[in-house]
Amino acid sequence: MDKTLLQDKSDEELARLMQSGKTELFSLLIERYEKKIGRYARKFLADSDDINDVLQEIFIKVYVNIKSFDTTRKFSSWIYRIAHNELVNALKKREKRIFPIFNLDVFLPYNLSKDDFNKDIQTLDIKKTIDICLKKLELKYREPIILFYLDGLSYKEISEILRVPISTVGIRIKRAKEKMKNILEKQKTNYE
Amino acid sequence: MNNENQKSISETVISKIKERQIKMRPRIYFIFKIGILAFGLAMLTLSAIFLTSFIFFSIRQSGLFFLGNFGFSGIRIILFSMPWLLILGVVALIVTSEFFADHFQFVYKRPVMYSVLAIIIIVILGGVALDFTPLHANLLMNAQKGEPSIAGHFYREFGAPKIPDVHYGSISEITNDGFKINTNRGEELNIIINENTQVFDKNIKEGDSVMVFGKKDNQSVKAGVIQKIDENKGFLPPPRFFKKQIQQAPGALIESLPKQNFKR
Repeated sequence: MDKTLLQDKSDEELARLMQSGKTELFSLLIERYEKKIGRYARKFLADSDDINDVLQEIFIKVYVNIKSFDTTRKFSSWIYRIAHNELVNALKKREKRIFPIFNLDVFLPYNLSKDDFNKDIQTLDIKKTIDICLKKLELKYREPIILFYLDGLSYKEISEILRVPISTVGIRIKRAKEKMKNILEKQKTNYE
Repeated sequence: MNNENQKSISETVISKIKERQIKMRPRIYFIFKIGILAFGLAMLTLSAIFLTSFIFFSIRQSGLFFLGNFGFSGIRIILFSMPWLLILGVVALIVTSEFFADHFQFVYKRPVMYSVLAIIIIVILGGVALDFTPLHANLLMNAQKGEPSIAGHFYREFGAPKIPDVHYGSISEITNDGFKINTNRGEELNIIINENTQVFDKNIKEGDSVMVFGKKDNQSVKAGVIQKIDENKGFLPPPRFFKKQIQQAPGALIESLPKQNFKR
């Protein structure tokens, strides 16, 4: 198949073609997602060897499970979901971290205003702030804020990736911003 | 990440595919996986429904809810005699069901509270519906015949719990100081009424089903409270045992006893 033609195809179309046996198209999908997923992984793991191992594992999982992908849904959400699971497993293994089985913010319904769904006007400032505060944020707040501000995903996509209600994504982003504000204020006080 | 790394990851994965070290899972694998999850969820929910209906049955068999009329001590006995182990079992089944249900998109997209509430409502309604069938009564009857199965053991253990100081039976005979009852355990108890006995229905007569609250000494019970079991009233119907035992007997027992013996 002509490479230029294939470049025009959507991720979902490529995935559908792979499902029907055109496995050679997988390199195109890797090409499209390697940087994005790599950037996402770097926000959780520090060691570059670890990151490469996890990235490899993610793409292997994508290939092995490609037939479970529903082509009517977004491929990006699906691959990020796999990446999320692999990163959580990597953190559990490498850093021996324990993650809570239950979060209250998934249990209760929340009402979000329209403003909560809009990105901040000062997205650039937010990006800088995230870089400063990221390591001090809990994973449950870190993930949605990275996906929303750094990877540019929508609340709906993030809710698919994390498998939590959209309102929970909103509340986590809101709380993450509050926490980042507190972290910055503390740092400012320390400097003074 | 530099270009070398990018290449190496892509190349490593592609070479593994070419060397057939990694293979795509067939679609049937995922269909089967979803099928197992759905089946597991259905089995867990059905088990919770069965256990809930059994709890209703067990409570009715013990006549626990009639103790509400016995004041504070009655409520204390209700709290202590509830089948907490079975209730804990239902809670565990509901929690496990939620974990299974959480794999489905229509569940994880909504707050957990909604799915938990939905499961609880399904389990309670299903339990009430199943309780209307004679299933548990038949299984208990088989268990009491000495059936050596797991179900037999379970029904003997939990099916007809005995509450301390509470005795059920149908009135078989009127005596000078009270009456005699035949219990579902095949005992004949002599119920003694005195001036301190509280009787909630003066129209108790031979053949009626009653619940007596009082200390048992040999085959005699000094009655503190006597409650007639009305078949047509109450949150839960009376023990099934009574439905089989009740016979229409003429004559009012209580009316024949001295009036000062009863307090309301």
